[in-house]
Amino acid sequence: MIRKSIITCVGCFVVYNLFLFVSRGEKKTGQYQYQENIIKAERYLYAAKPYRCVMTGSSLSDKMLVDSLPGMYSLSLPGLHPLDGIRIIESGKYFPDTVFIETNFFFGPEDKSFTGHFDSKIKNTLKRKLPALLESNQPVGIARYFIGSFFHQEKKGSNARVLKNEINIPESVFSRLLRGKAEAYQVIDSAAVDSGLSVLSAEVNTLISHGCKVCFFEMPISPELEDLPMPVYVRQSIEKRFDGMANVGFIRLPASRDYKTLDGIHLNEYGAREYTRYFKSEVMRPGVIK
Amino acid sequence: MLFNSLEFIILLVITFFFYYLPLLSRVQVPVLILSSLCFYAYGQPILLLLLLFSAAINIFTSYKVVTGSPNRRKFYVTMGVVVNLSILACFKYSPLFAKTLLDTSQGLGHFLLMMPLPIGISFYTFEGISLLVDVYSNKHRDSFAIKGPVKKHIINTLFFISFFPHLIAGPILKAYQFYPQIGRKYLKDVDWEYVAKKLIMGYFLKMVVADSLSNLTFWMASPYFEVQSSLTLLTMLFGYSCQIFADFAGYSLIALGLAAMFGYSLMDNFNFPYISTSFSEFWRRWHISLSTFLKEYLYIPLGGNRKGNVRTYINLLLTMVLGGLWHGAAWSYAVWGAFHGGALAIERFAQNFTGSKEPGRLRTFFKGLMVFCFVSLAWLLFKLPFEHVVQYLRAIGTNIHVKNESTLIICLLLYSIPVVLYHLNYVLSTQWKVHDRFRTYRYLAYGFLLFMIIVNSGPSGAFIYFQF
Repeated sequence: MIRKSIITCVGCFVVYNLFLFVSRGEKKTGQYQYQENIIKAERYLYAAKPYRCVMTGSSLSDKMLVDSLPGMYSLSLPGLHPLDGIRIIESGKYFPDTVFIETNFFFGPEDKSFTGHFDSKIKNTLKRKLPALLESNQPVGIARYFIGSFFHQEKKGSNARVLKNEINIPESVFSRLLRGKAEAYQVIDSAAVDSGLSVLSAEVNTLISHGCKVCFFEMPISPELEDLPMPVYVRQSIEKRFDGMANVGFIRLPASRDYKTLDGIHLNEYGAREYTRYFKSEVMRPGVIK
Repeated sequence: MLFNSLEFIILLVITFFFYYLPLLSRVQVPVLILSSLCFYAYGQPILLLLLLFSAAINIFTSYKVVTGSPNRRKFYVTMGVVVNLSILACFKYSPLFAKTLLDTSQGLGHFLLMMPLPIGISFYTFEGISLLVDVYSNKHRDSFAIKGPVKKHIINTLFFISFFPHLIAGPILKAYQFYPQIGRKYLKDVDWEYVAKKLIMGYFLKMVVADSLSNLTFWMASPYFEVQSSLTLLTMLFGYSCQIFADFAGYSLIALGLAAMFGYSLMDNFNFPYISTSFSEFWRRWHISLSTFLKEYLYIPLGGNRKGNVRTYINLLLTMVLGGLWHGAAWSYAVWGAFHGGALAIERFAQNFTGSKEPGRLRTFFKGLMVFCFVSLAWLLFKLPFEHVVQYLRAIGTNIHVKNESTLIICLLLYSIPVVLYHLNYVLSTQWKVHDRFRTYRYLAYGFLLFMIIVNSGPSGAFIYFQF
């Protein structure tokens, strides 16, 4: 029985790889947040053509509609920090022309268990040759994609959704989340920010030394929170350290902000779309990066 | 050290090689002891001292019970049990004591809160207690007795306590079942088909089902659950039931397979618990080593069902509350135990009126559904602090109009299917005798499971029961 089981396993593996070779094309097969982060990193590292512009950040900038930013690849990783995205860039075979770095939560520690996924040369080589080993090609993820597509097909033909600037969670829940964030933001964690700034500074220098331009951007959050002590301290720390540096630019918050968030910090769909439009216009403005 | 880590695979291969080397055949047990101590020390080297101390206490007191003065037997067994429970109380329950009664921001309260929780402590202290009670009661003298030189007793007991397949998450071994097995083992006697089946199923349940579900049920935590729809919350609850089974049953199956590689047979810890049609049946099928331990060493000594109905209900409740607290140093576990104790007591009370009439298939099905729903709801107490459990249940009632998370729901259901099929396969083969003829093609299933382990594993996570 053991021999037959092993033969069956090998047979399934070969057939599955052939199926994946034949049915190429990127599908949205991520099943959960951590896996989607790995998929993003794998797609960046094993891409056939290099990406010229890369964005790194957290779940805040992950909300942006990157499909409407031509040439941009998002390594904004929910649950992680910009530093993790920068590590992925550094572990790749090339450096992009421009790296956009979200500044809201730049000071978190690197998640070594995540970035460690891509340390092994043997694993990386096997993943390039055998698509069945990629996270994006897990059978359950593909099954989930086809099931989801089947149900969404029933909604084809309906009018395109009109986005409204609203949030769909109970008001009491939203108020409690906002209050919690406001309390947390009253306290300045200067040790974490300052230590994170040192690390970020070293990473920025590394990127610049490899020919990259760097552009910092801040994601809008609820107006009630953005001028509290902690966000202000973070903003000022970044400005103080990097303003005036060569090959570094800033995309500052838009002057008029009518954004609503889902929980105080994550933009709703309407806000994400509006901010993406603003971001795109800023990126195309000459002189953003010195 | 996780069973699916590279470090463990290396340790296993080295141990296996030296264990069956003919030159080292006389020291097979010491080889396993050394390997087990390395396994335990890998994560928490300093706490190895505690394991050795616990083993030393059990070695000394059990030996004295057997060889010491008959008048002092009770003293030694009492001393051994008290020391075992003290170790458990000190390292496991002092944070609960501190949080409940002291100021944890400073002084003694803070010190107690910071006590490290040695991995596997609940398991090996219970095994020590079972050894002491068994040698004292002498009930199993036909199969198990401590005799011979003290050196042999030291080695056997250290082996019994530290054997790595079961060391950190069970099954909880009984001395009278394990000691008679200790002896020389031969490679030719290993049942490789049994080993392969256990390991493949165990790793599949753990790496594919449990590790993936753990990333999906993450959203059950506060405050995330507050913004999920009722359907999403219910599906996550169902998924968590499947996750906790897959995690623990998967670990237990791996432990059985690993032990069998070295010639040792451990007891099955799960017997398809989610097909249970009564709470008493559930506890005969779930975490069998713990429930039999509690029955043998707590429920029966308390009087069991021999002292009238009211006393029986109290004994059931007390046993389950203590069993709940065994799982963790938090009041939510005690409440979980009380829920199950209460259910057992009510069921016993109801049985006194309905008698032993065999129910029909439909009634059996609904009873099974009711048991499963109750057990699943109770698992919330494992996942969330008590106040969040109440909020979670409230959110199920109020979030009917919130948009469903279809990706999350579909993935939860897909990963829960193997657990459903695992139980259905058992029902079809044992109770309905449907597919005996398909046994010839079992290798297809195992081959597919192996394939899924390779291509569809979730991110490595510690076993849920490691924390107990």
